[in-house]
Amino acid sequence: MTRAEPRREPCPDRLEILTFCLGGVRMAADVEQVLEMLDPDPARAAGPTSAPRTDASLNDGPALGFQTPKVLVLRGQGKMRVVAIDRPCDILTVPVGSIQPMPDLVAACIGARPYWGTVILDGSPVLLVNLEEFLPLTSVQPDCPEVGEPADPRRFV
Amino acid sequence: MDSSTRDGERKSTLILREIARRREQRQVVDVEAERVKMVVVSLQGDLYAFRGEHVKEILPVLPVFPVPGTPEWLPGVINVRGQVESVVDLRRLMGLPTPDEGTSHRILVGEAGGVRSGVFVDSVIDVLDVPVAALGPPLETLKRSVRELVSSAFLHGDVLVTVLDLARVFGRISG
Repeated sequence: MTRAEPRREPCPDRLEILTFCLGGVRMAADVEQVLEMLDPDPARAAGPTSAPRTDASLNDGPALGFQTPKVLVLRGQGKMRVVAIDRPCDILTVPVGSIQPMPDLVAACIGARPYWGTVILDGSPVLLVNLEEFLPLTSVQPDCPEVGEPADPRRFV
Repeated sequence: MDSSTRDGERKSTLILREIARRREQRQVVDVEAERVKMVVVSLQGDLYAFRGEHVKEILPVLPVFPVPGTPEWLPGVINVRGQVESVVDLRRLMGLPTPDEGTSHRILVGEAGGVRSGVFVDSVIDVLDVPVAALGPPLETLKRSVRELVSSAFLHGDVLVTVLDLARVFGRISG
């Protein structure tokens, strides 16, 4: 009797992404990873320890000096995790087949950095960030309830 | 002169003639010796070369899109006909002085050791077929950061051209 092979979820053929700017670099993230997008002041008002971490940065180098007009609240399990961005740009649907892996040398330099790859939008390579792996658990604010209900991504832009 | 002496002279003449003939033959063989194609480029006023089999194409400078987290010698990525490629700043990698204004006018797309990337160069000077026998060791006076990337050197006219090993260049970046 042969063991039945585990059923694998088929890979989606399209991905809905939120494009945004961070430190002058255009990036994108899977919309499903984002619970909500807030202005920094309302985010601070959500609770005594829910001040957004404006030092959340995808750059290992010196501080980018951005002004963080928006904060992305990530989906999580009971913990509030936020990523500060300069500004959101758009919500697009891209074919999964159009996502290219990071070039070899870039992947070698950034190591386990959470870039899924790149996608060409309007002739420009846009970095596709996996926000889930970006924020380590140490960046999590303790004792913060999840903010809001799962949001319609079309409210972001 | 007796006959044995004349025979001896004739024999030595024949031998000397044969030796000269073989020397000429060897010179003809050297002209047809193995050659290697080299792409000669300029960088900071000096000439460098890459083996032709490692050079896939030469492009004008394209917009570079930065990737956070990469070192200064890997300024970002470029879009080459819909393909995203990295681009290397060879000057910074080799520790050469970097002028305030960009002097790179070409991107050389190379592939070596299973790695493919663009490389900034100031200009492409020539593409040559260089005899393998003309390749010699690089200058001892080269900076260590450069010497580790060099495989050989040859003369182009009166100018010394340093041959960079693209596999070593990419190897240094990828670690």
